[in-house]
Amino acid sequence: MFVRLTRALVLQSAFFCIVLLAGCESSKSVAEISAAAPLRTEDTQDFAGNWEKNYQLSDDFNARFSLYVADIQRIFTNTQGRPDINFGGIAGSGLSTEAINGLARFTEELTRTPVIDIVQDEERINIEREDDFTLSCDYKDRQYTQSTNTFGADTCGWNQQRLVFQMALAGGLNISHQFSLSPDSTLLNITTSVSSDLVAVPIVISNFYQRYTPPAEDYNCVLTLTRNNVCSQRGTAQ
Amino acid sequence: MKAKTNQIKIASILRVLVLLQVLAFAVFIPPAQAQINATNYLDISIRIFDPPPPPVVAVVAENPGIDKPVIDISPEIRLTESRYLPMFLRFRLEDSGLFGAVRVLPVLDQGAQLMIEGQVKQSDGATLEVAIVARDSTGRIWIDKTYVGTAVESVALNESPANQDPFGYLYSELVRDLGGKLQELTQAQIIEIRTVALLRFGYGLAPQFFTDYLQESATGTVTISRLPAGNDPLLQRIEQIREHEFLFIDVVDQEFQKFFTEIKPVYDMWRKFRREQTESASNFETRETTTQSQFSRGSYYALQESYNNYRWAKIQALYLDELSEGFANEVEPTQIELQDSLYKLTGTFEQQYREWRSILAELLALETQ
Repeated sequence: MFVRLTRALVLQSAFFCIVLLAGCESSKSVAEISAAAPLRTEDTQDFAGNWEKNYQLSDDFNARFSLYVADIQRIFTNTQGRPDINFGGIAGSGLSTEAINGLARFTEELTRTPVIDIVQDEERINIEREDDFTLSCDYKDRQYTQSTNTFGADTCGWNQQRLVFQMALAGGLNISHQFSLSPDSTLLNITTSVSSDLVAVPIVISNFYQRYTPPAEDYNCVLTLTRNNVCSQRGTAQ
Repeated sequence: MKAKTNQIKIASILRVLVLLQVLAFAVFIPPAQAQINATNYLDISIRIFDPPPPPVVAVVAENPGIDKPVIDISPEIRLTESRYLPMFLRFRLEDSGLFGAVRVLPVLDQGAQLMIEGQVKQSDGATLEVAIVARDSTGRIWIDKTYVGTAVESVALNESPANQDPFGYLYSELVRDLGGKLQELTQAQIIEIRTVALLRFGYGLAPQFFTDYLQESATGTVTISRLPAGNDPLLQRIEQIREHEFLFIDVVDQEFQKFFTEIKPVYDMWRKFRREQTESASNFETRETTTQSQFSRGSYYALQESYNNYRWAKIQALYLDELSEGFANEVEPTQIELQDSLYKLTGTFEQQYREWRSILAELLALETQ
């Protein structure tokens, strides 16, 4: 079952790569790619709000990792002696213990995020994550957009009702986050898929978030250009 | 004694001759050129600079999946820059004391005594490359040169913060070049430049009256064919209109100075961040090509290093975006009173300037009908 799931995810990732040209069209500039991106036809989902992790519904990382290791071993056993099937990067083994453990530890840290604040309008979404950088996507009327810096390239956009961020980073690290809402919009699902060029079968973690009302903060802080973060106590004259 | 009487007579005759000459000069209306010779100063008009061309992305051979950084600079910043740089040049030119009024304009000034145009070739905070062409009203090229340099972080204690810029030395070089060219000109050439500028301005507003005064060669050199009389009413009107045009420019100039003062700290900070970003990217590329990572490929630490590099680049880019939002480029509507009428000009600086010029041309057309 899990084999099918992981294979399906690999195929899905490949499909999405083709659809979104994530990292595939690296020789084009951002402007060129954005302009060439097809116009978005579906309505976007509204993810705006404050979300906190629902640990009960979310994947238990250790359980998921145990299944993953068992699964990858089964794949390796089944494909030994079959050079036509290649799941791994170097030598096609995909069984470097250090690489698998490293990928697992990295994925666990990456998917810890307890709280997410999302600001969204017709053209842009900003997903603020605690202890990590803000995922930002300027989709406007396009299905996807791409940006690059020296350390990697990322593509973000809409895949039907899902918002997808795909990052291809230096050292062969690939990360994908898929955001989707439950039908009643009370739960936010983030499915994160992480792989490296040494462990081509991605670790997939699914986390759920529920809406919450953040407590009123005692301080109101504003980032200013000249004095950096300036905070004032709420209720006092500013 | 007789000799002395003759000397007195000769002196008297000379005095009479001089008096007659003075009288004749007073009766004879001198041409416009003589009247314009009021000062040696030349006014400068600087057109807002052209922004740099869009960047080209090259693939890094060692990392085919990853592009070189795209200088993804928002149009707002480019627009700001195209005004900021000429404004800074303007202050430097004023400080030099070599020239008269220095004005920044949205379009080419037909009546400019010395016109400066600039094309920003590259500006990423670390490097500034600007192609400058300075041409006087007679078509003489003063400068046709590309100024390029890297940022020099320094603080001059005897300079106000407004006068400090990491590329200040490039501006100094440009001012020196212009000053050197000015030294080469004779008094007559300076007067000629001023005269031609006024006639060209008149030609721009009422070409039918000014066609005969100027001649332009195939190479773009403009010479004076003949001059209107100094008391030519049309010429006097043109001079007045020129003053009205300066009135508009001076009104907008106040807005520009306010814009410059407000935007300078933001722009300086933005450039500093760009420099840091470019530097860290360059360091990364050097490390990637010259040394191996201390962590084994695929290990937790290698993955973390890769992600952290990317994360910091993203955070930095986000901060730059926030800074970019501070680049407000709207020009306030301008109200100008002229001949008991109040004119309200709206739109961009360029649109307002063109509107004002068309109002002035209409006024002149009404008066000369």
